[in-house]
Amino acid sequence: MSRGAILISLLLLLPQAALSQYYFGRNKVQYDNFDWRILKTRHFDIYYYPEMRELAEIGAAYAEEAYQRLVNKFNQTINRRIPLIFYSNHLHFQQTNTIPNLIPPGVGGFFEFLKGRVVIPANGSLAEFRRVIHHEMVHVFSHSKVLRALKDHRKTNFPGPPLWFTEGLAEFWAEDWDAEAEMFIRDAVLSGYLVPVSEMYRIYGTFLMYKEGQAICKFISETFGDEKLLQLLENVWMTDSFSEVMRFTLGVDYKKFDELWLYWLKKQKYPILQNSDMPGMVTERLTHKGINTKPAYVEYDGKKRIVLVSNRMGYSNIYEMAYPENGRRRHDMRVIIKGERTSEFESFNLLRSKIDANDHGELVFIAKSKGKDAIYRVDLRTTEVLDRIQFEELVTLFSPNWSPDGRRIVFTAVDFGGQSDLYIYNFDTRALEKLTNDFYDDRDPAWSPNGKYIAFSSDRTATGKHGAYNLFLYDLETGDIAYLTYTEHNDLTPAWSPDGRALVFTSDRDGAYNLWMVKIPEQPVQLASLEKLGDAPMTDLPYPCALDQKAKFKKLTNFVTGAFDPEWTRDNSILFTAFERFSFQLRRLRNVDRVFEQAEEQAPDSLLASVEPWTMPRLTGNSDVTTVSYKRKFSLDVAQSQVTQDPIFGTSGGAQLAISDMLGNHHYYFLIYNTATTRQDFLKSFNIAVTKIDLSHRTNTAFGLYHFAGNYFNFAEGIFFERRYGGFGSLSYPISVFRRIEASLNVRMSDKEWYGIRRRKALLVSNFISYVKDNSLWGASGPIDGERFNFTLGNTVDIKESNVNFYTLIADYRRYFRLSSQTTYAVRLWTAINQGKEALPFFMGGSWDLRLYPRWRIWGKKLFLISQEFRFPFIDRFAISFPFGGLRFSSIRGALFVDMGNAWNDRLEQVLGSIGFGARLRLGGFLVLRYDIGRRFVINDIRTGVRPKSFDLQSGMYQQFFFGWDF
Amino acid sequence: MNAMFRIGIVSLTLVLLAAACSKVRVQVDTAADDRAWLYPGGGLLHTAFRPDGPQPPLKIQRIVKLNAAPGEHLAALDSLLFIPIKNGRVAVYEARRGKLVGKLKYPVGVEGHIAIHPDGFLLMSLRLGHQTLLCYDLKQARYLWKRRAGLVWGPPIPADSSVYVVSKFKHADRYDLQTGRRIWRFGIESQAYAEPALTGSAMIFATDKGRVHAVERRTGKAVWEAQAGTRAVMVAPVVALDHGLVYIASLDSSLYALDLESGQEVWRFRAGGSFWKAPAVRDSVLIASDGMGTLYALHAATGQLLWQRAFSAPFGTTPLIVGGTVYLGALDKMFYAFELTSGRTLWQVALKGRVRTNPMVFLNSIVVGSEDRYIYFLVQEDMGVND
Repeated sequence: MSRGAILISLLLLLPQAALSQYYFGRNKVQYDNFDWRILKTRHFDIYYYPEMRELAEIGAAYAEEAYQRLVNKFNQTINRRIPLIFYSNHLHFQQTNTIPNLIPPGVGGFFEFLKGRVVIPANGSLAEFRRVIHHEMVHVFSHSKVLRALKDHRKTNFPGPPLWFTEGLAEFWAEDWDAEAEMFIRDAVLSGYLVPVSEMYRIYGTFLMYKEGQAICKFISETFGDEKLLQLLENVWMTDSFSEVMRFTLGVDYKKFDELWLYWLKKQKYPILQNSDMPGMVTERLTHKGINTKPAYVEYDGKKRIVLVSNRMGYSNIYEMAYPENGRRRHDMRVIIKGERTSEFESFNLLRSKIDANDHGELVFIAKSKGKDAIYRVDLRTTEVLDRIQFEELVTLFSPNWSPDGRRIVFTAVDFGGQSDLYIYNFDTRALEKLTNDFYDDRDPAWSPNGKYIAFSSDRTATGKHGAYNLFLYDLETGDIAYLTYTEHNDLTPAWSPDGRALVFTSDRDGAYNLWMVKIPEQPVQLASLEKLGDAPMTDLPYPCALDQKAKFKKLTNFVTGAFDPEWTRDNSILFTAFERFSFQLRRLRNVDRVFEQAEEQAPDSLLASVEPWTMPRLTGNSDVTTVSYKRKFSLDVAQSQVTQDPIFGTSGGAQLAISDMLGNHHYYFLIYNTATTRQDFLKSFNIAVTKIDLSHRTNTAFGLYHFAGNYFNFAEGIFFERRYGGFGSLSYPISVFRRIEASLNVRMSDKEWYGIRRRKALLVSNFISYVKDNSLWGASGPIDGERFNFTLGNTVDIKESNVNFYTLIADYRRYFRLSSQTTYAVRLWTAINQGKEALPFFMGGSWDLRLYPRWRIWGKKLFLISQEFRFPFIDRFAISFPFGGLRFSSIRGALFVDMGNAWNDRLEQVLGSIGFGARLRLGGFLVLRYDIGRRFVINDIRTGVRPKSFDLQSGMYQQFFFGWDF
Repeated sequence: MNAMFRIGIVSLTLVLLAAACSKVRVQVDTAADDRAWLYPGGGLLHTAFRPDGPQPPLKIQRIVKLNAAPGEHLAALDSLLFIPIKNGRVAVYEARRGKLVGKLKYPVGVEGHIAIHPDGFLLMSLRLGHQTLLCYDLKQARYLWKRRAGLVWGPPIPADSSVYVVSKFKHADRYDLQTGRRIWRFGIESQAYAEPALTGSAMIFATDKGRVHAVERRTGKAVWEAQAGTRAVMVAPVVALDHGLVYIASLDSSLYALDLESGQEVWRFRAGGSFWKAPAVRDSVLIASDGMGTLYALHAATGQLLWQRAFSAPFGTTPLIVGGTVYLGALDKMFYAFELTSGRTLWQVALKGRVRTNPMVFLNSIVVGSEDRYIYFLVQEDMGVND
């Protein structure tokens, strides 16, 4: 195929690829149809839907606040209106079409620089919403500053600042240094895995990179001056090496900077160990691999169990393990629910949502399912799903907690408008009751053992504006809400002791998240309710409260890093999740009473009489604010022109253009290209295509018109000329994230000439329908777990001349068996058939299918392939040092493979095969280099049966070097 | 009369002889008047004040397009306007011919600052490179000397027969104007960004740690040191000899008035945002703007707030006081004229880019630059002809 033809083919594929997200791939499902509006403020166009109007107004106020703050910080204005697209929750955000990628749960928002868009979801917490807005606005200003600096100095094609710096700066200037950032950096320093600036590529794009970047910016600000951070952006024009930019700006290059920074960190963090401990040194570890969180303790059928969420084998699952007693060290884990593989359990919100189990052996948890969160009630004995509850108006759900009678649950939910409140659901009556009703973020509810109260964490406190959470108590009889703690820090995840006389919770009061405990006093408690603040009555309600002067209030743990999600057992122990060595693991604190008695007494919290909940800022009633309906306005995404030179086919050239609307729901692709080699051919050699894609609904559609003409080549047909023109329409319906149905209709005139042989004209109509599934989990060089397949059926017929008439069947099935956390057995079964008049051949051979054979040199109208591969880690880190520098590679994977297959037209005579070893090296985020070496074999005369003598292992070693992911 | 004029009144008449655009040659002809804008802030004290000049309403007489963004400070000598460009050049505009007549290319193509010695020397400081302090003889169209002065972020200040410069390499230097020989070096604890102010006997500058130094011009010995906040000072000190004060505008959002003789803090004014631009002063009125877009008029002797006005965007230039009018360019592309005594807007015009090049008086016009490569010549409405 000529280069021009290849280009055209690739471009023709482009819109279809965008529609179907390639041959496999998961789906971005448009579960909801949003009626978009635009709130126009002084500097922003805020895109929102009517249900979240209130939240949009609050976000607008935050955005304007961020703008004013950053104008002063950057000494820069943004002289354009900034598009700010809000979603009321993360599940809506995952449906955005502003970028084609699937958005994982951990992404809090993004700045897309092509259209200058900022896309942000809320998720219950207004403080977090504000923080993300500030974070993304730092990106907007940084981008503007860098572009300005390069433009001012007439510099083009300069690399911008590295990701660790831009993300670190956004984190640092968006928020105060908090306990979470401190936890990661303490752990990295004290556990010895802190990555220096000069090797930041090793953690590119990871959460650790964000936090290290933030810590570096903090160091620069405190040591060299806050203005140096800005100068690092302003000085990017000086050189294309950021190390040099650093040297010109700070006076030190990467190497020296690393020395200074690491020394500064050690001076700060090492002394902390004097009075604190790493969790691993003082508590018992119960889990080892992956992330293990959200423990729930349960006793049923006389057995003591722990249920937890873990991604120890890659996918997140819910596991049950026996509660370890009597020094037993081995903890077998049983999978209760397999997550992230089916549309029923798409994800578990691993780090946010707790789970709970009752004494009936019923587990309750939240899983994302088909566009919304669902509450699941599962029998732990049989793993049978007893209930699956979704609510019309509630989108994201968190942390269900059983009532003592085991018939009701209390949980947090974020509604369609983005408001986070507490709810009670009764499994017997199917009734839903709303407990709170405001924009405060109420989370981590815990039902008291006597059934009368619900303790929860909330930012409804006076300091909540800045992100502080205190503990509160909801009285189920009166509906009153009372303070349980009062601090400017974060008190989270309260857990009642089995007798209801103590509450343990996690708090960052002293700079790190630790477990704190308050015990019920001997004397009546003085409480202040929010409504009755100022004349707080004396009550005799018997529950623990840190505001009570007589209560015993102590810090249970003194960890350097952090402890989360405490859960009482019935043997005077507390289960919790601890962070250490960049991992969350389950731990146990035993003899809680004794630890409590030995702990130092803390001063009780004091509640000032003037304390009132904070109020949300809002941009309403302002002359600067107007609202309009969203109307599609298209702007440019990509425009490029290209000229190609080919010694055989001559010169050809053309251009491509892509435009889309602000929300990315509608796309147009234009292609114009000319492959004429003589003046006479100029008009008929135009290649033109126009495609329109609509992603605004669950069923994605595309249609277009095209005219292609040119010389083509393939190994089966040689060189031929073909002119095709017509139109096509296609649609893709995602059944879920993992499965979809695709269909297409293509009507075209085809005038094809095999030079010197024959010419035929046809009016071709092609119909295809496909069923695609992909739930694979990916590792460094390809899938490592799950399965994916594509079944396609179609036919192509010449409805005018009857010159062409064939049907197509393609079945491509791939399955990955996880043998251990590091190894996988992968198998691929592929067959394809084109049968009928002028049926087109299929091609194979090469690194992507039948390995060690020449690429695409095996063809026929029928094809089959069986590939098997054992994937394993080969070299984790590999470095070559030279006097002038060095090269470093990581995650080199190995593979042992056996392939068998062939392509044929009429009779399959033999099977070709290969066996060998391969190595894969991932470069950056998208390219994998592949090297395979091994031997070929042939199985002859298979029509008469496979016998030992028909197997021929050919002599000589073959090798191939190419690129591409594992199948 | 500012100290800079003590060197005598010299006027220059241009004769452009250079054939190549990288050469600029002028001929010293007659005495220059004392309005020449040779340095940032219009003089060695950086007051940014001229008693007379164009008054609003103004009109745009001419727009000159450059090939990159103009620098922060322009300088003029008679009918020649020198425009540093951020791609490593100095463009020369000649008023009588109304066009650019030459360009001088730095040895390395990086951003630099300029100042002019009235005897016809163009001093240049560079932000990158080895030889970062350059003296160009405009009469002979050749570099007189080049020196390693460290990375220099602000313009050099030539005065008498010397050149004063502060460096990011933590020192302040005095060089001989004719030979480039370093006369003394004063080590400082941290980096210094902005050019020094020169009084009759002292060189005053501030650092990125908020430290203010007064150094004896003749010997390089410390006269006094003071602390103006803890954050960086990015702009030059401004000296009001009448009040015996030096003003330090800091990123910590405070404006400090220090005693010129002792460095003692006399008053301090707390603003809403950081001071990214130097103030200007005329008699008893000090004009300053902060990073939040608020313009302040303070009593120069006491720091008492006379008036303040909030704007939608911060200002991108140092104020220029001409008679009773304050000229200021803003980051929302607006260029304003305010009444000095009240802050009332007298006139305004929208330019093509963020206004970041400080306005100056050039012959009968106000000259200002925007970051989208434009230099604007603004004259009184009743003068000149629109191009």
